[in-house]
Amino acid sequence: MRLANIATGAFLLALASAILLGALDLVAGTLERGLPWYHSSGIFPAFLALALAFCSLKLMVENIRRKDGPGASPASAWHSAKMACGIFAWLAFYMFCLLPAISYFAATAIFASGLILFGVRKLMPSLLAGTGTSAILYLIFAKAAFLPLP
Amino acid sequence: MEHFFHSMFALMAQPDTLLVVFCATILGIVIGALPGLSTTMGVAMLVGIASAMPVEYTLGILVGVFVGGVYGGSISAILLNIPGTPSAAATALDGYVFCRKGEAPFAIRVTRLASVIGTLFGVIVLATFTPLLGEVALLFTSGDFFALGLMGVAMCGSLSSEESSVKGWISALLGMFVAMMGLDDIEGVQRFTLGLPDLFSGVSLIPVMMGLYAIPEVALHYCRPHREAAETIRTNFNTAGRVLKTVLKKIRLVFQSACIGIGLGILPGVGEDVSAWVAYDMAKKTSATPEKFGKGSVEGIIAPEVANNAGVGGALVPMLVLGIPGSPPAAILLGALMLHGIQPGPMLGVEHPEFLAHMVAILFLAMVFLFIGAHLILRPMLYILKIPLAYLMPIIACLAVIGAYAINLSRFDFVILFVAGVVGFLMRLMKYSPAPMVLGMILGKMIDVKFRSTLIYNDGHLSAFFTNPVSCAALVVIVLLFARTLLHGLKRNAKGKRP
Repeated sequence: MRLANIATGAFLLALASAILLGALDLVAGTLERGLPWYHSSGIFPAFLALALAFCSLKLMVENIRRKDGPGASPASAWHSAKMACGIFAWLAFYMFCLLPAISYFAATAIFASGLILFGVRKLMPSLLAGTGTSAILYLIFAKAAFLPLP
Repeated sequence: MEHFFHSMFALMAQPDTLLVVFCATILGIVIGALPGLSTTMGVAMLVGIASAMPVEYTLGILVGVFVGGVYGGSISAILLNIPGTPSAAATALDGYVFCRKGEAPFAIRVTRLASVIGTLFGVIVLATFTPLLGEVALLFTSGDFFALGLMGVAMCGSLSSEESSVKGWISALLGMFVAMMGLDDIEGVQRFTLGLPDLFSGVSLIPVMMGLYAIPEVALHYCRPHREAAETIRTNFNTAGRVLKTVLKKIRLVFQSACIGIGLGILPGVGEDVSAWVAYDMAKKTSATPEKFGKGSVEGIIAPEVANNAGVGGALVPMLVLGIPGSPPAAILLGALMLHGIQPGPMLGVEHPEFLAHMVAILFLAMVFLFIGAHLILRPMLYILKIPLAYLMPIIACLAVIGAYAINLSRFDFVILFVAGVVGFLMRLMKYSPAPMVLGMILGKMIDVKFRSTLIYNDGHLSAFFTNPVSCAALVVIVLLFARTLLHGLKRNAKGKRP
């Protein structure tokens, strides 16, 4: 956690610098138009960027001084990372590939079955539950509530 | 006053509203009772779908789930010793002892009555204090709103982060930055849009909220050890009607806990979780039998349940009066109202004179349906708690996808949902609370506009913020929050250096 906090702090510091540069650009544009600085849309983001830079530095300093506590075992962290990547990849596949290509009902049935399979590891119950989930959602939102589905 | 009650009863007499609030409250109880699904996540999951409906339905769904969810957490806390929501963690300490004694129905009915009474206190405070505070708020200037908004975000950042205030502030600052994206209201120029036309009107709030709350819950479910299914609970459901007598005997405790719940509920970011623990702690300190706490004390289940449900009404008061929500679910509700073109704040009573009456009516209905619904759902709940969460996770993910799409009918919102989901997942792993980010996103634009309006009105003099008592007091609170965190950090470092 300690190293992750330091890395996050460094990333946020870089982000704050980028925001500050963008904000100062906006302030410069306002001044070029002959308006005073306090009219600028960049002034508040500039303050935000400075505050973010300060907080990032504090986060880094706090964690550089701190001793590292016991973390998760490498095997369990690796398993968690694999599962998380799998879930996000499956979600991306559903939203960006399945939904634009096939009907909502079919896409959701495939997605829900796959997601259940991740958890219960049994094919038939996953397929049945996934199709059932898709059917229920379709009936509730498309047929009863008349909501536009993706 | 007559008009207020007329509007209230007119809404309460509509069968469709009654049905919506009833179903939402039951759904809230189920969501709250399922370990791993919090009230905030439930409200966030449904906000997209609810916002696509008429405003009365939106209110009915979100308030119903909010009230039901806060209570529902106590059911699994008592039956399984697993709090369904963080606000029910204190209830589990004594509630599960009742379950082991075979008195689970008694404990569940006591918490049900305590939650109903807590919500009733919230309804009374909402109905009486909101108009009074609303009149005071009409005197506030732009500078006051800037300072109060900033104070709300800073307090939320300080109080909601479990590890360090700095992480809460980072979350809030990132939320405010996201709110800056898109067309600026004063200068009319594009800010931080990365040249993407889809960002010209800003980042949609609903996909971000769903991404921050619902998607990480799904991903984390597969990354952590699974909970055991509920064991068969052998118990006698025909308990005598001693519930009312038990709660009435503790009326001083009920009043004390309700005051704690409302008081803490009003503070931005504190919410029901902290209220429940503070009320539990206070109940123990003021009890004649503190040694019974943790061993099946009825006071130990009444206090947190009254406080967390009273906090619902408390959190809605600053949301309606100032546009600054008191808890994360209230922040989501605020976002949903803004999508309907309703801007809570001091002008709410002028622009939408019937809105407060509708809000009070729906909170009251949710309270009544909590009492009825919790009774009806007790036995089915024992079966629902046996369903593995793996079967429920796809429903959450699909509701998030439908909700993200339903507002703008734009596939670009999927991109926002996905990015917010990844960010929310990483935030949960790194112990950053998403609540300050959501609040920052909701209030960010208002804070920016009020800040510059004040400066423009005062020819750029920053002293304008310090000459007004309200803005000056709010800025002092912000400085104290920062100073407290810095001092705390210095003390911790000094301790660490000692041999």
